[in-house]
Amino acid sequence: MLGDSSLKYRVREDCITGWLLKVPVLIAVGMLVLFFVVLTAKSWPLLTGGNFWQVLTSSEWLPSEGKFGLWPFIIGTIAVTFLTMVLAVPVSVLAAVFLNEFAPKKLKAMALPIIDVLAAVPSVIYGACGVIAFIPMVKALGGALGINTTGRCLLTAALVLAIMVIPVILSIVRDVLAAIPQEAREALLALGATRWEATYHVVLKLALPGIIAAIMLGVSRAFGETMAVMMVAGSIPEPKPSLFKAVYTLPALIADKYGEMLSIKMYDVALMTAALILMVVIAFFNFGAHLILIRLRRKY
Amino acid sequence: MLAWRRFVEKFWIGLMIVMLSIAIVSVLGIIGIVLWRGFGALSFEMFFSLKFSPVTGEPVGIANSIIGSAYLAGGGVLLACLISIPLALVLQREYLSENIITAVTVILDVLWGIPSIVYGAIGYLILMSCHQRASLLGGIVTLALLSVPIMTRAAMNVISLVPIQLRETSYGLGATRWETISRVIFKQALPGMATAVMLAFGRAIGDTAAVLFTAGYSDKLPKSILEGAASLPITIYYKLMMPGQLAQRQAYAASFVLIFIVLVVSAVSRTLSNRLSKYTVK
Amino acid sequence: MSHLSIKDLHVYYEGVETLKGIDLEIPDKSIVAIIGPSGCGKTTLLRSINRLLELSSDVKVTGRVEIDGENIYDPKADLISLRKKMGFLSQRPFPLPCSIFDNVAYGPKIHRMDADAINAVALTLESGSKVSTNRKEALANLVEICLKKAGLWEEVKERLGSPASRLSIGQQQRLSLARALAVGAEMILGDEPTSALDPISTKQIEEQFKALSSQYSIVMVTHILRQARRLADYVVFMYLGELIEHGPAEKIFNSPEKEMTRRYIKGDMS
Repeated sequence: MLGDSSLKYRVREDCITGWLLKVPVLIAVGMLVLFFVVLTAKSWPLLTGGNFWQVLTSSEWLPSEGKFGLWPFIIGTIAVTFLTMVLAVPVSVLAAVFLNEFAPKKLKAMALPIIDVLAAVPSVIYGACGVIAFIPMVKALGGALGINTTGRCLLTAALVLAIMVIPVILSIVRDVLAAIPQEAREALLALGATRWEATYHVVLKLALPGIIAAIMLGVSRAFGETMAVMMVAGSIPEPKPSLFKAVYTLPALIADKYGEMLSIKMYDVALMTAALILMVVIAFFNFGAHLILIRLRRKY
Repeated sequence: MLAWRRFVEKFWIGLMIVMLSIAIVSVLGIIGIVLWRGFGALSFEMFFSLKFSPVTGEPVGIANSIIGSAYLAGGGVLLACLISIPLALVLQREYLSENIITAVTVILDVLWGIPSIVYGAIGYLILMSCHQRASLLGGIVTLALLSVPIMTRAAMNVISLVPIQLRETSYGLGATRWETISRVIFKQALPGMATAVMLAFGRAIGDTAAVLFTAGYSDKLPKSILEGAASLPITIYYKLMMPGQLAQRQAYAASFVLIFIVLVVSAVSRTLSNRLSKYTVK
Repeated sequence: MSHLSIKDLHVYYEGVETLKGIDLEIPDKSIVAIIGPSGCGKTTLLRSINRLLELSSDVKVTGRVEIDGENIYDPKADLISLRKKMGFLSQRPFPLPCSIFDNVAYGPKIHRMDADAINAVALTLESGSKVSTNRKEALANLVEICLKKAGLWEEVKERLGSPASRLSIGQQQRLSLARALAVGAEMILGDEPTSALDPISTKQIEEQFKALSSQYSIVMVTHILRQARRLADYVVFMYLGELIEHGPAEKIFNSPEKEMTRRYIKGDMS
């Protein structure tokens, strides 16, 4: 029959392409494995040297003497992330609730694309603005409070990062809210609840896992942020972070010192250990957040 | 009682409006400040001059950064396409089981969240182990790795929006998987894919940490792929910290160009996806 | 008991006139069925009665909808108290994310009803019901009565604390009914309340409606003529946003005045 040989060809084509297309899957999975393996391999001496715990908790950072206490950087990263979230979460969550539940249609239609577009602005720009505007502002604020500060400190970093993280959290929370069926709100409104009561009692309860996922994603974004922090946080390791003192984070450390990596023994191991810690913590938050979101999507 | 409930509602609405205003004003403010300063620093020379200042030995304009960024981001995104698009096409039920698809999706999401500094560190390690110096090639490869998760996830979202009837029609006519996917699904998803590519481009061009160690730096236009290349974000970072009027002005100009490119790419990809999807089957 | 009258109601959806001048007096203590082909304004009419219409996009409403003489569209009207008077069953029942008991108790809790108010509702539902000055007891009593009136008590009395989401869809719809009764509704609005249910659950809801109709006005939208025949005391026929004909069920089904009504009843129009 006429079609016979072309059929054989098509089936073979389908089979071959099927296998070829599966190669990128291996590449993608391989990437993650590669990252993990490479970083672990490089950090191996520190991980197994017996003083890994010491490295994590010591505050002595004297690379020339072989002392790599990562504690100030770890606590610095945690402090920056924590303060950032404290500032960003109330703003983004409440703004998202307003936009989805209370805002007039026109405002909604205008605000959402703006926020999406702004989420794409690179961090170095935030850093630049931090240098231009925020550092002098915080310096002045410190002065008004009687605190002597260069303006390059924890507070500045958190302010800049908070603004950066707001669009991220806002759009995820908004998506979660939008996915909740209208019947939920109707059920309470028909009983005579105010719009706020309907939102608070039902919508937010249903959206809570999604909100938590959004916060987790915000955390991983803030945790790994390099440039903006580097430009405004001051680069002085500080074991007891405080608002107006300079702070040094893990990403900033890696970015600053990579040039000197090979000049001092074990320096590269220390920096790669820092990178490994970063990667593991962030992967953990990301993984958790996406699990929550996937489960939410399945529900609706 | 009722009055109290209404008061509570008004209070929260008021609070939410304040928060929304803070959010919008602060983000717009950041961009506004940088744009405003940058605008003042723009000039013909800034863009096109390849001369060097006799005083500082630095280039007068930022042409090297602009071209360098274009090469880096463009090359990185192109390279990533080779992996991302097939990957997005294959992550469908015709080829793989639901479990594998979910697992790979989660892996991609995790990769997406990994900060670019880690990509940069790994890129650097790879370069070192191949005994290469930081170069345009290094930057391109690192940016490609960075772009793969972004592009793949975006492409996957687009493909999932293709109506199932389209697939059914194709298979119902006796098409093979490859034929359906390459002729029907791909065409239907093409505008969305273009958007995904632009999205990745916008991200790649603005990324500093990934290229910090891997792309090197150069005062001149990159001539070979094994040479270092300047890029806009790196220029902003370096020059902002340097003393001197010229350096500062260059940093502002570079900021302006960078924001401009990112905003344009964002806006264009948005309108493009809206416009092009008019012709696709709904 | 509340009386509902609709006077010259016009509804505009995004500029398009969806309801064209509706004048209607809803008879008390009976089941009123709103029938008509799909897309002709039945749901719009229903949702304009408790102003749930405004939740969706651009809606403009002119005319009056009066509950006991009070126009609910008056800008000064107390929407919240008015909505309390009307229970609403949507097509897809939505159990609140809490226990069965809490679902029914939600209304009273939100309106901060004290023991007296709760007792009052309980007495309206069942004249011989127990009363208590203790709020918790009164509430538990009310929940039981409402669940009984909704025909759900026997099935859930052992597990009032379990999540409502675990109920079957038919049970959830009866739960919505109990929820509405608990706030002291005097009228029940149903937007195709059985279209998402299986035949057995449908039968149960219809039985409850019939039982409640001696005390309540029930207004329900339905696209199933047979259901209207089974239940309705009064029928309202709508077509393309206009009120074509309305009257006692007997008359509409057996000797309708308008040609269009006759065609729809016969099944010539779907």
